Amino acid sequence: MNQGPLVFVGTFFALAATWFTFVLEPSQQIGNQSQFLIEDSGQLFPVKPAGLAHQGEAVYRANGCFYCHTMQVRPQGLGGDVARGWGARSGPVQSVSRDYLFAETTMLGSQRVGPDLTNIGLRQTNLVWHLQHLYDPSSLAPGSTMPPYRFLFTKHTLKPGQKRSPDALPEDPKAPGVEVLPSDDAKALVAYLTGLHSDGVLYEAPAFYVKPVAKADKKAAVPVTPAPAPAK
Amino acid sequence: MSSPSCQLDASCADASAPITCAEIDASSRPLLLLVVSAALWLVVGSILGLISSLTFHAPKMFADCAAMSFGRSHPAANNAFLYGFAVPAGLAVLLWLAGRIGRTKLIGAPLVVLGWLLWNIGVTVGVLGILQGENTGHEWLEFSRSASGFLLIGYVAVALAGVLTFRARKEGKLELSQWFILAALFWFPWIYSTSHLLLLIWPVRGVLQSVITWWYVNNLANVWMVLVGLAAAFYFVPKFAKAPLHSRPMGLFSFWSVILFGSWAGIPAGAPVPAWIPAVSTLGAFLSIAGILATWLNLSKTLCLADRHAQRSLSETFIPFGVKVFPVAALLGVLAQPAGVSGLLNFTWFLPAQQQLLVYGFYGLVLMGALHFMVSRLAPVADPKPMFAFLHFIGCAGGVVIFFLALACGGVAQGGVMNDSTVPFLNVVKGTLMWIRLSSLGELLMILGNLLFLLNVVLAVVRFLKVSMESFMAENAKPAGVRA
Repeated sequence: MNQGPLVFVGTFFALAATWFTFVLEPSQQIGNQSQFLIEDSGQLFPVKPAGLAHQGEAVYRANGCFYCHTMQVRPQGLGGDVARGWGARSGPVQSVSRDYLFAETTMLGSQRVGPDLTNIGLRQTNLVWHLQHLYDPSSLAPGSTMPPYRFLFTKHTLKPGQKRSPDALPEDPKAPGVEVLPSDDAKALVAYLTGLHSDGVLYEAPAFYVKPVAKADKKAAVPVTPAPAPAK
Repeated sequence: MSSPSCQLDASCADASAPITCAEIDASSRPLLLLVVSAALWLVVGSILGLISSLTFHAPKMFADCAAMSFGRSHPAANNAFLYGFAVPAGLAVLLWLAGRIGRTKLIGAPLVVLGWLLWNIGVTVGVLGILQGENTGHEWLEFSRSASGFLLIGYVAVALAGVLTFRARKEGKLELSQWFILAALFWFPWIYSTSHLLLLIWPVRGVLQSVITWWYVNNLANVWMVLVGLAAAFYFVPKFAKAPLHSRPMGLFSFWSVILFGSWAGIPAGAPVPAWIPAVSTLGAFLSIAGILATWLNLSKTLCLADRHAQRSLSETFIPFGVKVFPVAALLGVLAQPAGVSGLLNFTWFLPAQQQLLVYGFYGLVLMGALHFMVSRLAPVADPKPMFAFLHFIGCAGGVVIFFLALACGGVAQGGVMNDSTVPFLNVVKGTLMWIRLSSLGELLMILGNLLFLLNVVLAVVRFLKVSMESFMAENAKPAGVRA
């Protein structure tokens, strides 16, 4: 008996089964998601990133930041994500699919060599801190294993009497008279990072509701703003 | 040929068969192109991998060199391994086995050469692109659109030659390996074109991209590579044991298990997708356990019939090692799936360790064993010296074991402290450094092994070309002599 057709049809069936389950069905279910109107604030979530942040996403992608940083908060009980303060929704609510609606490339990441960045835009809002951290991570986080991204900056010595550019990083006391300027890529990357936040109260990510109901007053309905985490 | 394994060809020299093994091998020589380029990319990939892990020894080393920074050299290394080595080497073995088992010459040699050329243009463009910052952002699919296009057309050309050779087989009933060969030939273009179209040409939105990436990665590692690795294992293991396979029905069960259940795994618990997706994925992983155990039992029962004291060729050390690694790597992959374990191990170094064990420890070693066998038939030269064989095996096998143990232990320890929110994150990172640095030792050994693999392949091919050239010159010199 010629078994070739049997193997071919069997393989086709198995491929079709996994394709329908993991490609077609998820597309049917979440492929048409749209922005959500948060009634309390009247704002839409997620917010479409600004132009510079959008450019920054390309820098994030090109330099492979997602190999060391994740961008997903798991629910409480699954790892220490919520306990570490990486989530920004009240209570144990995790990242949901709608959060990524406007990412040109969804880079959830698969390893945490560095901390999760889902809500880095809420934890660290200081642009200069981010630039300095990209230029020399260990100056702000001693012992950090993050490589410095000096190639995103230009460095030159100031001529006598020359003014420092307003864009320049704070002067390093060890190297006076040297100016470090962020490139457009570095600025875009920081715009992207500071724009990252997943804190919208959604139907599928509701404000955390604590039982008993009697005690769940206004506090439960309003998303709790997370305490800013210490700079790392 | 003086190699101890040359008697292994006896089974092929069937008197009733109108074609001999030597003829089949001679027709398969274009496949050597795929083998040489695969060996070269394997070395390039492992060197790039070492460069990327230098970041953990001296973070500031490549601060001014974008191309060598971790975020670029790491994906370049991985893609050089996957698309430079793993897929073309697998194709070479599939095509050669299709001819050998089907007792037919390789059909469509020009297609192989064309496909090889296109494929390697694609890999070169892709790897250089990643180093320059052209990364698509999808893990294991980082190659730019143009590079992936070359790969897809190149694959189709080579696989078409495979299908033609497969169809020219003498027997309608299939050997067990042929089931795996046919499925593998079709599996890759489907998953690659689907993910290529839906991620790069008409990109889907949001986390759907991640679902498709997970689906692709799992299908490449846990289905395609397993199909190719087992096709080779089910062909070579009975050859080495000089006995038939322990059980053919059990082998068929392995086949159905791989393609039906193996293809469902890979999406971690807690991912920001509808909860049924990781749940179904975990179920698929658990359903594949029986198939993994059946494969292990079947192959080890056959292997134990082999003569333990006989002198072993390189393939007879590499393939059995890979076969033993398979159940370990595959079962660890299954065990890491359920939510309880995933909460501990996801995002740690455990997963790269498990992945390396599967794609290099199992797939890579089985393939290298098969390729050594194949090269020694396609370009017959004497077996390498025992010292060479020893170093080669210690490099590849010892390297991957050290790499795996270091990162797996480091990953479990990392998961424990990462989930304890009282430990500052920086301390978690510092705690993993010792393990990562230890794994670099494994990487160094693997580079040594890969270099020796390249050396062996290139020397065999060069010597063969030299001998062929000399005999060609000698033949063509005769008329000139007459004229003189």
